[in-house]
Amino acid sequence: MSTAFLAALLRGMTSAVAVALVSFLIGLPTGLAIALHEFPLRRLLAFAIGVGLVLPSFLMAIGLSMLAGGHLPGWIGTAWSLLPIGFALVVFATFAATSNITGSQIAAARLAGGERVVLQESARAAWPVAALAATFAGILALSDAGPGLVFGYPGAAAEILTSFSAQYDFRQASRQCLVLTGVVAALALPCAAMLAPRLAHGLLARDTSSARATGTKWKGAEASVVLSVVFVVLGLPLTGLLFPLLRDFPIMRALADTGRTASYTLIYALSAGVIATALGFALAICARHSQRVQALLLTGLLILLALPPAFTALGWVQLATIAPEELDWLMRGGPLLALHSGLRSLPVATLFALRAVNSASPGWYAAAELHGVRPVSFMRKVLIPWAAPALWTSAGAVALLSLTDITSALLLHPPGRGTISLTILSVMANAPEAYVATLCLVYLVASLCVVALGTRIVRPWL
Amino acid sequence: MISRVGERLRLRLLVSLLAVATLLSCSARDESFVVVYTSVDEVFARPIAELFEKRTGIEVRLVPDTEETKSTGLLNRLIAEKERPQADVFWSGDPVRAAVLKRRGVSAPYRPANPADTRSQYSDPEGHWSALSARARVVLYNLQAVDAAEATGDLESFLDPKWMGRACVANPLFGTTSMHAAALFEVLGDEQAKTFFEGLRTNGVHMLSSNGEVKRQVASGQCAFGLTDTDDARVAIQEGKPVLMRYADAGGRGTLIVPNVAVLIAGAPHPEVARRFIDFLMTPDVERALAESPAGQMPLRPGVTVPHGVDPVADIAAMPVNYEKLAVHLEGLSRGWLKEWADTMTR
Repeated sequence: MSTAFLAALLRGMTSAVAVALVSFLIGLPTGLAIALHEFPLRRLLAFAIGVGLVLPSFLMAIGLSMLAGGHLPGWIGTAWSLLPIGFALVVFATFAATSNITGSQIAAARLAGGERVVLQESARAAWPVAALAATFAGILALSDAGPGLVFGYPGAAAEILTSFSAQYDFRQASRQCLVLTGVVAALALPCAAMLAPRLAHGLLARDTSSARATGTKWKGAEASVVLSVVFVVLGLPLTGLLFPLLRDFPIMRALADTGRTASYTLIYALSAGVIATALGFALAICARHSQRVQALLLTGLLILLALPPAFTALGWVQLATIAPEELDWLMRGGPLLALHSGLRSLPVATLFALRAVNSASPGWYAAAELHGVRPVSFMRKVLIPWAAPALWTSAGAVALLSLTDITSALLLHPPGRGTISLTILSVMANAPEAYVATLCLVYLVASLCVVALGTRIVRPWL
Repeated sequence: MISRVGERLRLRLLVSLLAVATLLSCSARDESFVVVYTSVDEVFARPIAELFEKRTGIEVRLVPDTEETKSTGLLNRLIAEKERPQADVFWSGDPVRAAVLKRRGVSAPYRPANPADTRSQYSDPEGHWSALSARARVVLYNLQAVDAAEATGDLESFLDPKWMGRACVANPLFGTTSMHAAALFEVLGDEQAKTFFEGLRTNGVHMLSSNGEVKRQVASGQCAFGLTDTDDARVAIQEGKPVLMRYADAGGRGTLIVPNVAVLIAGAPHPEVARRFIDFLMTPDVERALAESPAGQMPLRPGVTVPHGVDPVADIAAMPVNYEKLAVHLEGLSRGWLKEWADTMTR
């Protein structure tokens, strides 16, 4: 392996560790605050954090580059561009994990020692999930070539991209992928082994009513801190990206371009969310009995996440080429793109599902077995309703994450049926800056509208 | 009861969405559409595709590439699909990628009846690609940092200590910059070209991710000048940025011309409509439309009227290069010296 690749691997690891660490450190408290306390602008801020899942890291990198340019050291610019996704993942993982703590448990903790104990106990329950989400974010960063290229700090993914995109050397790219997955496996296995047993959280009672505190004395301070974090993580890069709107606002043209791809984008994203969530839930159920299996599963999924999407997508393209023509509707159609995006985000969905399944009371399983309840009925009547908040959060997070996977969309979308994010990326090199900014704004607003609509639909489960 | 009905409705909604997804992804195979993969920026390619649709009634299913992700994804997709292609035509923004496809047996020969490149200067002698409107390599100057009199387009200025740390180029492993690098090696010879690139490194020239990024950094004043393409430069000019564009090395070795090329894909599923689309690309109307677009692409065909500020290719002192040789040279350089140079630039 060349020294250049090893140096790139080191650079990639630096960015990945920075992303994972910062995401965890700011995401866990933010997630806890949103899950446990009512404070001004809470919902709006939660939406704003969701923006991080929608925006491709490359757009954030361009935004930051336009704002701060050469003043940022490469690794900071790279990590900052990747931070919004990591931050959002950790916040929503913490939120989902905390949502599975029963109202009676929170009430008991509140009675015992006030808000401090509630936060302490909730953090103790949620940190393993948050830590895994942060690890996922770090590994996602490792496989993302874009921001590193913009800030002159290319990681291993950029080296792999260079191998097959500039040198057309698939063999070298495969070797590099192998090294990358080896490194990820070596790091992920102990991490997964340590965290898997902590994914379970004992359940005392079936009381899932909201236990969110409404009148905490520090609600103003909480809102200010969360607002500041969101501004630094997301607001600054977006400012750079949307700044040209001050000069021009070609909204009609942007609406026409996004309208052409909106339905396909929605369908791919929703399908990816459903596929990943269903598979993740099935995997979580299968791995429920053994912590060792869970650790291995998590390791495998982390490795899957580390593979650059272009590499796996090209594998699918080649598979589609040798598949029978009758399967083109599947192998060369939207379903393959949804499947690929879903599989890529499977680790995130499995994490949510594992947490939910492990949190279910062991007594429920015992009672069902004792009374001879069929597994399907048990799942339908008990487990799925119990896991519903985590499953919906997972489906939403995966759907949003899939929007940012430009490379998969580029390589797998059926001709003429691209996505909005692909449109933005394919015009931004030469389109006027104001037009690109308008496209980004339309995309953002549309994504948030869909998220808001989805939240309304699934509110009864949340 | 009500909540159960609501639950069913929501489930039905989900099932319906999935069904629509499946239906939308199914497509019948017929000759009423042509699949065009293009590395030309979508913002310029789509109006041309729409013009073709309007004139012929044949739908164009455009698959654009993105310079910014550095994926050069479409070329890889074309190579991966070689045994059973989906694409009918590859409309490439440069001839080097077309030469790569020829070498790998992905393209098929086709000579348009009425080529835009009337002197066959930029097209493949064996007909694997046919050239039309071109871009050129330019040096883009920020006029707040550089005096207009100093803006000569001379590449030697990148080595001038006066501009240490103030100039930028895109990564020479990708895009038209890679083609320009290979051309410099061909024209200057290996030793002189290596000296030039080493000079860029020692003079603190910034290596950026793309030509678009070069345009952005020069336009914002973060760099005083940079090497990019005419289309990037023209967009910055039209946006009113304080910039000036000069053809690179016009007074010396000549400017590298980067023509668009149309490639017929071997085994294209819709060969008839593919040929019609290529023939359409070669018409004066398309060259005129591309010249009038914000890209201001320069027509190859003599006599096509161009807007003010756009020069016909014939008026530019072109660098004499063989594009097919460049592709071979580039593959070697990308695996060897140029890759090492790019690595040193990121250290």
